[in-house]
Amino acid sequence: MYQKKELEKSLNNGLNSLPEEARTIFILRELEGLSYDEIAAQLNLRKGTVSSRLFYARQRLKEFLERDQGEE
Amino acid sequence: MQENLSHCNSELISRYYDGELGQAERSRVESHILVCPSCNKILEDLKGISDQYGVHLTHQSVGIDTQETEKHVLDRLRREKAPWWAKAKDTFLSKKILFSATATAGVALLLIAVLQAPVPDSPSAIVTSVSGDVSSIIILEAPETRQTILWFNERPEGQGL
Repeated sequence: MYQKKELEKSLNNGLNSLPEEARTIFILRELEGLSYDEIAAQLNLRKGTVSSRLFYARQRLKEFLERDQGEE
Repeated sequence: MQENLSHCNSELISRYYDGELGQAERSRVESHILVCPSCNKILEDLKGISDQYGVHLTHQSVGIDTQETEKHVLDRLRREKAPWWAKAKDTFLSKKILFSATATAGVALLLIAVLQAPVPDSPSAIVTSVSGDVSSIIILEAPETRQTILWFNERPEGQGL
């Protein structure tokens, strides 16, 4: 059984494996609940860039977690 | 009636999931997801990621300092997108450059002060000929140091020209 502590460690590792900008966008969206427009304004990026970086971050996290949790 | 999506678009599903689509696009995606298992799976995956991070992670539990990360990225992005004069100002105000510039300016001021020192009005030495008979005189000018070197050859007494 995947323990809570191990899961948190895995999630943390996944987050840390992301490029800095993608990680920040993901955090601003998932933890802060900001909209694409708000993230774009804060980071001085285009809305389309926020959308693609966020999608990329989620894809990377999904792959990382599948790989990491599959190894346990 | 809304036209259905002609092909799967993962990023569009992501924007749909985040509520970032307009009414028309949202309707098209909703209709598409109902009949497309792969897009439905993408949507489920997105929910899964959000659920995992939403349930287990808070600002405190995230092993990285999110505020510091955000600040770092914001600073970097501002520097990258800043106009050239702002970059130049930042570069100049960085400690390393400021120290070098101050040292260079100090040396330059010192050189200017030395070069602009007043030239003495009178000669620093007067050479007189004992016999009063000088066969040749060489005058050397050193403009950089503002010195004049006078070299003369005194003919011994009793010798003619």
